[in-house]
Amino acid sequence: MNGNPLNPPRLAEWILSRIADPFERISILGDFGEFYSDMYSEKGRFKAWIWYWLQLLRSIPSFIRWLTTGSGAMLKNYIKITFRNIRRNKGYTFINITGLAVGMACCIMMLLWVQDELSYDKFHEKADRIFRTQVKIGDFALWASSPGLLAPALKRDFPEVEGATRMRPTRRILLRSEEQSFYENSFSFADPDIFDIFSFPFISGDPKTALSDPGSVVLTESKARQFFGDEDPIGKVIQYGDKLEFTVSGVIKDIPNNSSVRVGFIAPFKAYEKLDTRLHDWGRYDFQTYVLLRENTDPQQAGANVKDYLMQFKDGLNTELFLQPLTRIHLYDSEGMGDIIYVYMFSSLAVFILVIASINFINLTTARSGRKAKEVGMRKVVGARRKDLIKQLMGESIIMSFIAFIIAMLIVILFLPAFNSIAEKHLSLNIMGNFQAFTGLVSIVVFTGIFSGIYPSLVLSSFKPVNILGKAASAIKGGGVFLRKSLVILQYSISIILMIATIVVYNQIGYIRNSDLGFDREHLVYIRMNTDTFKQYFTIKDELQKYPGITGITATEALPTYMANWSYVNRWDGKTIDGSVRMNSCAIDRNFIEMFDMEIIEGSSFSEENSAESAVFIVNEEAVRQMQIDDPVGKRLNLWGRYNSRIIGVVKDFHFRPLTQKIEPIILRYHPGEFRVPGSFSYICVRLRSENLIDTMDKIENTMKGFAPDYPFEYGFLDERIENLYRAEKRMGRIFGYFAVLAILISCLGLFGLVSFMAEQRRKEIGIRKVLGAAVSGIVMLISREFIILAVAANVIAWPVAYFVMNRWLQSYAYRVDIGWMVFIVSAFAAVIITLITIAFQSVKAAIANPVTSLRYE
Amino acid sequence: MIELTRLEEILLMAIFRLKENAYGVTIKKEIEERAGKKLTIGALYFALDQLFKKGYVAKSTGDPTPERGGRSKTYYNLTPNGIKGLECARELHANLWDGVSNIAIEKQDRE
Repeated sequence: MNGNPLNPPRLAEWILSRIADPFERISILGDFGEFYSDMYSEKGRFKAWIWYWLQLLRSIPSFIRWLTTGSGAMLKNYIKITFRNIRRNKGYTFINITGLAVGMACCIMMLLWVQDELSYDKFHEKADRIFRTQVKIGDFALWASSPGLLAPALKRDFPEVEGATRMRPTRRILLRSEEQSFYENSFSFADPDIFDIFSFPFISGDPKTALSDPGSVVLTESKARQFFGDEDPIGKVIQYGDKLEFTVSGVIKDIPNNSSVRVGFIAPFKAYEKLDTRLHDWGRYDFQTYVLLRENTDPQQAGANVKDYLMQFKDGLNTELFLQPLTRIHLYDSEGMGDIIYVYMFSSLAVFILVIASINFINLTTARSGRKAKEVGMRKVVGARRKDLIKQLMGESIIMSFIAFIIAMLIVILFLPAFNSIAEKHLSLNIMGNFQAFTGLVSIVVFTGIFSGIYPSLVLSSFKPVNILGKAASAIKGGGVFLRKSLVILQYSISIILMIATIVVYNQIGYIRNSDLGFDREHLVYIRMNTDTFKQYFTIKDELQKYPGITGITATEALPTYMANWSYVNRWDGKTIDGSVRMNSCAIDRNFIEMFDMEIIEGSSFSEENSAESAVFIVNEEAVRQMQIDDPVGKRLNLWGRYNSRIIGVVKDFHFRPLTQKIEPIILRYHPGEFRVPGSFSYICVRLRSENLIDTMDKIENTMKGFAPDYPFEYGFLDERIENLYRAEKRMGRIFGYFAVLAILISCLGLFGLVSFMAEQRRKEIGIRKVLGAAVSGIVMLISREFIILAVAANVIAWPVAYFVMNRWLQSYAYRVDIGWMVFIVSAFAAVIITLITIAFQSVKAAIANPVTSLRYE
Repeated sequence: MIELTRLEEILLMAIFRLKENAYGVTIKKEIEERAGKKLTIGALYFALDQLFKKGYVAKSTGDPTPERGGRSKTYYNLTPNGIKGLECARELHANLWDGVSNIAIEKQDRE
């Protein structure tokens, strides 16, 4: 509301100025204003305001009547004709609207997905000033971890840094409140600046002081409920493992799904300092650092300033520091690729599907223009200008697209939950209050209406009444044959590209899932170690070995799904190269190699003779290759300065990370002493026989519970875990597959309509041919030939595009399938076969029709 | 012979009475007072536009005033056709009511 009697509500005025008749707009606005100011001085602001709005709303019907009278008669006629046409050509309208509706529904869902992906981390008020540090050492890729000392140092040394925080997400940790205990992996340590940097709204507690006491913790709403139910969590105590104790000092709102920083608990970094003795090591990249730049700081300049900051702490290795914008974290990996490729893929998919559906409309409308021509001719004769006709025809297509849109919305409402579960998203069709989405939807309708209406209306309105209504009437067969063919080819090409893309995606996923990892993943159970089971590992091993269902037991620091404990190694016997090798390392039990069925290609595996006392190493082929040593067995290698141990064997390369990454050098190390250092091992692995699995699992559970009654029994199957590595790919593949199938179906729908129209048009021709002795098969061929040619032509266009795009996609995998020529052959065959099936019904129907019916009027 | 609808008659009459000062606001007030007819501004303008199209009224643009937010008024005045329309209406009324002074009494008398 506005305080001045001369200033009526602005929104209402704006609406009024939009709907009032342009010739009287000013005086109407003036009258409203005059009444308003009278009312204002008599009855006060509020009543005047109410009056204005009510008057406006109640005037709307009259305004609309006003606008539509005059041209109203014609408009009415247009609408009437549109609906009459819809009713008269039910089949054709059905095809048009179904295609458009399904296309729009796909498009809407895709765009919702894309919008969600693009919205990541944008909810932070200072999002454009927040950066995560990345480090690049030597020639290796960027990575997002940094030393624990970096954040305070940056804040101290660079005036443009307003705030900085380290984050140390802890691994799974047992948290206990008085009543509840849960394993949590959302516990993170951070500096108090975190609440200055990120917008995490507090429900209770003060963001300024919440983390100032080292014994305090801030948790999210849902974690508070999980641990304390409906009680007030402030002041309650949470036990962190066996070492620390935290008092809840604040509760924040749950962090939105579209955030890349996701935590449940935030404790002060000061508390972490007690847990970590090697914190002051500049060479330890175990932390994430986020910085907030001051307002009006140029990020480029700031980035250049900090670039060489780490060099002072390094000797030799070229270390560069980068600032990565927060809003890029979700979609871009260090090489500027990442999930953004799916955003592009899906956006183009959305547009493609809409284009395919619009092409149906264009083709069916122009094909049928012969019928519509009479109406157009008649209108022209009685005085319609070309402009009016274009307006009318465009109006028709916009009405169609609007009807389709309403159906599309229903489809979206029905299928969004299903789409959400496939895409693992929480999308909602929240149009109200989401201006962007609303305008998006409106533009879909208008775009579709205009795109599909423009050509038909230009063609139809250009007809000359003399030709249409005169003797040559039968010569009008529907214009734009060439354009129609090109559009069908375009449609086909898009469908074929989608088909090839889907096949390649599935091939790649299949390749990843079935490729030889270098070890045996079947029937292998992994059990998480806890403090008790670690202490009693050897007893447990002896105990479990007694069961007939178990063939082997071993322990490891990490599972071969993701071994990533790496460091630089630069000392080994017989070193001939300069510099160092990035070397992974994993502590294992002596029988690990045999248990995982890995292949030793040189030297020997671990045995009691070669590893009774000290540490020994087995390296993989890649390590030998990178260290460039000819005869690795027996050579000594220095790891972390702690081990200077013999290499006793070389294991064949095996995949210990997802197949998106190349196999790196790795040392499998066995050291009896490590069984006495808590935390050295994380998993017990048990190989089972395939019979009586359930029974054996029961026995294992009982045994483990017996040894560690206070801890939950946590286990999983290795093959499932490996499958899970590729969940994102599988998900994308599935979504892509569904939409590709829909796109193909929509084009088939259009094809079907086109064929039925053509068959109808050529009824007489077919009748005469039959009378003159043509065979049914010949006539089917006659109709089909044209479409087969189109299908083949489309393949030629689609192949290079599909090859280029999919090749690009495959680049993100270190290990990938060849696209291969088979895919293209398959797609060509599929295109031809789908075409034949689609047109079979109509062409056969036309071919077997009795010529008497089609010719009897002549 | 011009036949007006009742609304047209009321509006034309209002414009006639208001003389030089007939524009949206005054017309609306006039018909409210005299005929008890409450029109929305939209309906009023729609009706005025119809009168204009039928040639009963002419429009002229007046000066903007501050209480109108600096927007000019559209003044209406009757065209000869409009005046003729009103005369016809009056004649019609006179003819219709000729010799009838009170319907209620005359109805009683008949029975």
